Amino acid sequence: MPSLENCEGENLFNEEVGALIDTLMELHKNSHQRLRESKEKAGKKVIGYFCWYTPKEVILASGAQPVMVCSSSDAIKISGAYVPHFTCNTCRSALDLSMGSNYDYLDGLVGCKVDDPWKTCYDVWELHVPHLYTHFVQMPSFTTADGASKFFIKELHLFKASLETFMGTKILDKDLQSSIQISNATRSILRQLYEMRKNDQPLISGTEMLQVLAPSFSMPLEAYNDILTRIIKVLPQRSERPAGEVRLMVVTSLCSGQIAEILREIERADAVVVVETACHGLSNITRDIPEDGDPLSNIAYFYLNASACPAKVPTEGWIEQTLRSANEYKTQGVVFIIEKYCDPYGFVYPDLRDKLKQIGIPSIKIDTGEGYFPLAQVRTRIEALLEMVKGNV
Amino acid sequence: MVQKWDDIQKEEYERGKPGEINFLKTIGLTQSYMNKYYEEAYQKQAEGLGHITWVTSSVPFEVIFAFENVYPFLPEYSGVQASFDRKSTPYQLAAESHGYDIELCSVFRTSLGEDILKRTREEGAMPRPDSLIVTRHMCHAMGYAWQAYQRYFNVPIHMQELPYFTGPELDTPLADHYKKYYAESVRGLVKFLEKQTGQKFNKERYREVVKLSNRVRDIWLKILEHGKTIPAPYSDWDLYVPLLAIGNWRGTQMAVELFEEVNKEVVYRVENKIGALPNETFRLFFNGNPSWYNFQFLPAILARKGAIFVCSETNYLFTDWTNAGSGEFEEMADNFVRHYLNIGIRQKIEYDKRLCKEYKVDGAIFQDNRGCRPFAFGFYDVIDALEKEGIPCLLYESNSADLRFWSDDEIRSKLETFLEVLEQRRKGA
Repeated sequence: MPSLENCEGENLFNEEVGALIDTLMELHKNSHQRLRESKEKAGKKVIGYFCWYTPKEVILASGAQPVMVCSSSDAIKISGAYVPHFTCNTCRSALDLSMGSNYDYLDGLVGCKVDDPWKTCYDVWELHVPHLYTHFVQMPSFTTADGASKFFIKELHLFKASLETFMGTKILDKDLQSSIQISNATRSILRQLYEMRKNDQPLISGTEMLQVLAPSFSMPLEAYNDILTRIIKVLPQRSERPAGEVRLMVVTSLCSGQIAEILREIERADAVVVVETACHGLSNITRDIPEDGDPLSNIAYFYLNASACPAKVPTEGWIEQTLRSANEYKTQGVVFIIEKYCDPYGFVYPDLRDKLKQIGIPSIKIDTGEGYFPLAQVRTRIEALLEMVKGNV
Repeated sequence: MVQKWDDIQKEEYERGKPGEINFLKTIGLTQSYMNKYYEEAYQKQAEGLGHITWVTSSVPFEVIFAFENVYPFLPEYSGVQASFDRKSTPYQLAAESHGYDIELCSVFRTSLGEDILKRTREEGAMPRPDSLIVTRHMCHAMGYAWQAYQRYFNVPIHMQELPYFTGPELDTPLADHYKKYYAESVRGLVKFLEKQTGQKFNKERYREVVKLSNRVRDIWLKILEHGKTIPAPYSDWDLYVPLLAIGNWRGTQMAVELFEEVNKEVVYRVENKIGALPNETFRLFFNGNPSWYNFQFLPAILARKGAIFVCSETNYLFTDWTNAGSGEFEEMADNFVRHYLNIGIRQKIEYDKRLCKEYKVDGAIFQDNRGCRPFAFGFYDVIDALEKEGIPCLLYESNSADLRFWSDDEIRSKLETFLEVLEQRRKGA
């Protein structure tokens, strides 16, 4: 789902951290080729998914490589024939790419109940790419609804059974436990990295953080964790740090095709992005999947309580988490980057904006969408926000 | 003055003119029933006896009406009504000024704007809610919209959901854990209402409500069945008016009365071979929502060339879906889950093909409704499937409740071209 296809930016510092980030970026850039090769050589099956809420740990436990289908800011070629233009660009783009040659190595696609546009994308894929494996996981939309947990656990059992049939192998509890541990390990390392952004002078910029997060969608997590660990080790020795004076938070799903460009604009001004509410970033690391007890129940518990984005209702948890983070990361201003036609963010925006205002944090909202990116306006608005912040000091 | 069917002089009953839709007279009763409902709810609320709850049209009304003096209100209806009266724009602008984007649900923006601008009872506002009840299986965004209402009204909310129906066929039996999940959520709703109203759930009363609900469904099905008659006794478009009632009051005696009146008139027309359009030439299927602020625009242009809507997916939303059956909560899940907006594209294709065949349609019109997007999802594949069956289709874009997205000229031009296609095909045939 996230769009990080074009997130490479100038490395601010010529040092080991930069080199490691370059490695990650290279891996991300070549992810399609890498996955094709690994499939050919090792025969490893690759299963795509659209949304972070997909229980990836079950796919991992089956022996397949889960890959998030990313969107891009490229023009839509295929999906325009299947979904209306007034669907958020992330959905249209991800569907477009998944049906085209970029993801031609996929052995299947797992849909997850997030909202109506994503369900439609799954339906279209299932209808038009009929020869591949598909499964739809009915994750409750109202996560606190009566019976939601029991229902979701049952759905996870069905998902596991479906994967077992497809993969021709039993998924044992120990396989699930092992995939949970790997996924928790990623969270643990990312948490350390996020801690370093709380420093008065953050050790890593928002643009770099985006680059660090991007490969997690397609890389084997062990290898990814390895590089992350090395980054954590060398980061404190970093001689130069992001120079921006104003500490900003970016509220976005990382869905927007132009997110990387906007982040670069922000950090070219006198600002540094200290935290972003991305499903793969901050929202992913706030809690771990419990490791004791029944693994599928633990996975259900984790996703039902994840608050990864405002797509799941009630959104109170996500709003509280965002406000808490704004405080913990000493945020002085907030940039909302909201995809046109995105209901979850569109509905939650006025509430969060007002709550931020109540605690003295000014914000701006930037709308994005296919072919819509008024760079000059974005620049001016960021400058205006910085002035507002400086005026508050 | 709107009359009941028995009070209408049959010898003076209009037989219609070519090129014009002859409207059903009894559907006008909907408004008088609606006024009565509003009056009663306002009065009970003022007396401290009534409990007003704002709901989505996919809630189990049977459970709500099993409680005394609980009045469910549909913001969907209120938004539609304001739009129908061409009064919605200031409310929508008010919601937008609070940060709600113009591309969000248009009836939500309207009803929220009504509160922001303090629309009065005399101006047609709904009573303020004492609680909110939201379901997901008609539209995912409703969960977000109801949270926004909660923010403004600061009242308790109950959330209930039914998963998507994933088929593979429309009549595939529902898995047990779906039924149990839905039943548990209905039991949660019962507890919620008990807490809000201080009443105990009355099973006797509930069974009576279920009977009335099923009666409403049966009459509605009869009315829809009569639409298959050639010439069609009514324009399917007319049924959108009482549809609002079935969405709000199924399970009430009032709804039974209203639909019995409409049905009597429809039966009279069928028996006397009175078509709603005397020069009926083309029978059309419609999928989407009418643009409420310009309600008769489409039927009027089509009628001039002898084209009439004989069926729609929207009016069929309230058939199986309103089948409360025995009233067992598990059983209700099995019926409700196949709601058109809760099924996949494969099932939508199956559904629309079936309707077009049964009603012997010559063409289909789809509205790409950017103000209510779930309707539009899957249309392109459905259109493709219908065209393969030899049914020409037209797709136009608008926003049902926001007239700022409407263009008379553009829609007229599309309709005229479509009518030419129908005529050419007829000549060719």
